[in-house]
Amino acid sequence: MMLGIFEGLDNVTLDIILPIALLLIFFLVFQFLFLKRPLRQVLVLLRGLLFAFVGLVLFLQGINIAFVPMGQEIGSAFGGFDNTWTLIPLGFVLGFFITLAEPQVRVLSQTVEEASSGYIRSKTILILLCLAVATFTALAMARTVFGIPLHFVIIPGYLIAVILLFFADKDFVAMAFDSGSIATGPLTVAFMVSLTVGVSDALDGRNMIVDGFGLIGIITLAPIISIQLLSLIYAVKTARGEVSDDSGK
Amino acid sequence: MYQIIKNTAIEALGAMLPIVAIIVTLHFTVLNVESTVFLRFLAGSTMSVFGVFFFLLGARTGILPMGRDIGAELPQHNSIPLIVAVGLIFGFAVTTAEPGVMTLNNIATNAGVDNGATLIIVISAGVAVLFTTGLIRIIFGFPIKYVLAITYGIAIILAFFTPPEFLSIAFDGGGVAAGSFTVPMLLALGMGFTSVLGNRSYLSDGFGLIGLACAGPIIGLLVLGVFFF
Repeated sequence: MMLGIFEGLDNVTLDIILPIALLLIFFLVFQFLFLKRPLRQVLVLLRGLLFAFVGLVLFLQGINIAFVPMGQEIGSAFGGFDNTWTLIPLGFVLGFFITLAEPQVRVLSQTVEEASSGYIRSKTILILLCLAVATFTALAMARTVFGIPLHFVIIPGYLIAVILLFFADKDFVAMAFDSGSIATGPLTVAFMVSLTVGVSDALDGRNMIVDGFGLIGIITLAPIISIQLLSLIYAVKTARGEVSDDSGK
Repeated sequence: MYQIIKNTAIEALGAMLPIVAIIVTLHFTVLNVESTVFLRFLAGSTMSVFGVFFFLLGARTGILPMGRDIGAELPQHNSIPLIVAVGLIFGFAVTTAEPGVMTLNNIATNAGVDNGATLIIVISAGVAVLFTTGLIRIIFGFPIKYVLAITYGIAIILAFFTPPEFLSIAFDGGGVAAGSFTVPMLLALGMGFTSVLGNRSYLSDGFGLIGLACAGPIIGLLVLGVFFF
């Protein structure tokens, strides 16, 4: 092919055979020792593994020829601009729409609504999550652009997340930590990390590894902190509600 | 089956279109990327969307039910060593096949981090250890709050001593570990596990399993950074 879209396909395939084989061996051992399912079910499993294998090969090849080079291209173009700060609003927009489109985010919003017995509307949570991820993505971009050490962002961020643990409701806490990586699907990872790596490559005095990576770690904080905060607001409002109920009696 | 195919297709497209749309917009407005790069991008995007579709379809129709069966089988033998062994192997195997983890490893390799498979192995081992911890926590009913506080507390302390180039990749590793494959797989095993534990329910006891598992790669990579570099 002229475009070289199959370049490196052999390496990608080799990389994936190992994990798939590992899963296969594990399942087969379990099947023979304990499960002893009928052959038909085992064949369905094998078909699933085959699909997953083909899917992974296509996905990673696509990532390698499309998202990684494109992310780096866009990143170094932005890094070469006079106004590198434009990356910050770009991060905000990217973060917002990626979260809005993520199906898992809708499931999470629904779960939070149920956990608050319908008190917090799922639409509110959805918008809040989108804004939170957008803000944190912008923050991550700002960090790369201005070369702020990651320690200054990660340590306070996770410290806040841990402190909130002691004040937030138990169910919300578990939910918040479970959904940390909800906005960082593999495509987001491929594009955004390549982008920041491209930016730090183009900027003088930045290290590709030190300044380019870390974005995912920062974005992960967005749902963790915002859902816990939401639970605090919810708790305060319920407490107030109870107070007013008591006074009414 | 038709329903699963339809939902998976919608999901694959939904996860894909916004990023592609933003990139295409950027290409036509701000930057003019070389046309071969752009065409490769379009071809690669199409490939990836089919890839995500087949991958999720295979995971849902074949691999997930097996994970649930294994989870339900585990507590019936009343053996902690069996739970530990299966939790470790399952957590490890599943994470090595997570697309997000492979992607991070690829980008790191492209950016000049010559690590071979170290990144994948440490991330997977981290998930394996803390996922197993999570399963054992469910049996003993130890409050998730404290387990999370302890593990993330350890991560914060280690972060003070880690060189910057490890810190960034360590926290990214935690984020990619919970991906479109690992989350449903670990949840499936967790659900099967809690469903046969009698007085435990997945809703109140299973939550937190993923959040806990994510701390594994962070701690693993930080330890690597603190002690070996």
